[in-house]
Amino acid sequence: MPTFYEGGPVDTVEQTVGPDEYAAAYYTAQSAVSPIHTKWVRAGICLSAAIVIASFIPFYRARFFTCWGPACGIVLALALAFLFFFIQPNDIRKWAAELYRSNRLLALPQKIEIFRDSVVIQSSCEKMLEYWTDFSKCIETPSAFVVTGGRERDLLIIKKQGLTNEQIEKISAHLAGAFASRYLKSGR
Amino acid sequence: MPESPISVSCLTTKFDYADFKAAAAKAAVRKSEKIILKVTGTVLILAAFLLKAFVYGNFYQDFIYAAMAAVGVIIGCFYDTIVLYAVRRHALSYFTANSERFIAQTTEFSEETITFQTERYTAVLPYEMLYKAYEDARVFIIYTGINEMKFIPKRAMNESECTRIHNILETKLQEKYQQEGAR
Repeated sequence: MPTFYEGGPVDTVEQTVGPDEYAAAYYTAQSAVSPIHTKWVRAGICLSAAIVIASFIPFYRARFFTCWGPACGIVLALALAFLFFFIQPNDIRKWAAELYRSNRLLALPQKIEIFRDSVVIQSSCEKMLEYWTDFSKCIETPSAFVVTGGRERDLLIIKKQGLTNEQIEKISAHLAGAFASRYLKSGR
Repeated sequence: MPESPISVSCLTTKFDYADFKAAAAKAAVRKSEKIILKVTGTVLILAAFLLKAFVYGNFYQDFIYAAMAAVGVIIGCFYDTIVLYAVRRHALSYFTANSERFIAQTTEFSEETITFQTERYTAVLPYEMLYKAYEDARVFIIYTGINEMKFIPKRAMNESECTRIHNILETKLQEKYQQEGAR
């Protein structure tokens, strides 16, 4: 495959991604789209709404006999907070597991060669070259590097399991340099 | 004697991309969802006429009944058209903004495998690894997963190649092969 860089790889990783790892990476990628996509922010907005509605109860009681209006508002806001914090993350993970099961290419053992400007991902069925500039974001979690927004495949997962500390630091430093402000660390 | 593989090469145009997105949107709609939309539209229209005929109403109520009927007509008759128009418009603007992402591709259909090749991607996939395939009047879409697909515009092939590809996909994928409005 043609690449502008003639040097050797920064590192080479051989791995097989399982459904749970894919689901976790997918959820991480979804949460990193924007702050509003995180469960903390969504649930926080709903709880704030519940508090704001509750603070209007004295004002409401001064004009009406009952408190059904604000009570319904509070219950709805709390229910939405519960939904965003506890239910939606599981639904996203379940959807990710379904995506994984539907795509048999994701379950194949793969060899990932990390180059200065690009990455080459190879399995028994396919070989793809992606430049770091093609991706939208890189998130480093305690268990993996999750790179999102690729041309051929949306999610590139580089598992830390099986890598030495030296390898992890090398890849981390390289991706941090390649992605600059698009590089995030989560779960630390 | 095995037939020679069919090779299709093309550079995606923005209209190819719009056709692909429209076909993918059509493929994503389940039959039950279509039926629900038709039934909802019909119920809204009937309800609007019945309310108008049997319930005394002032001007505002008449306006609501008319709006119900209009929504019923839109949902029941023109929902597909409106959604496909929106999808195509979005696809055209996406292509214009990201045209560098679309590079020439070659797809080869042989008896046992399907091969995709661009300057940055090569895949040789046995048919059993595919999730499904969809064909409409303008494109073939090959799904490797629910949210991962490749497409081949029919304008890049002649009539006999189109028929052979159709036959290969239909034979190899069986129930995983969907067709709608094929020429």
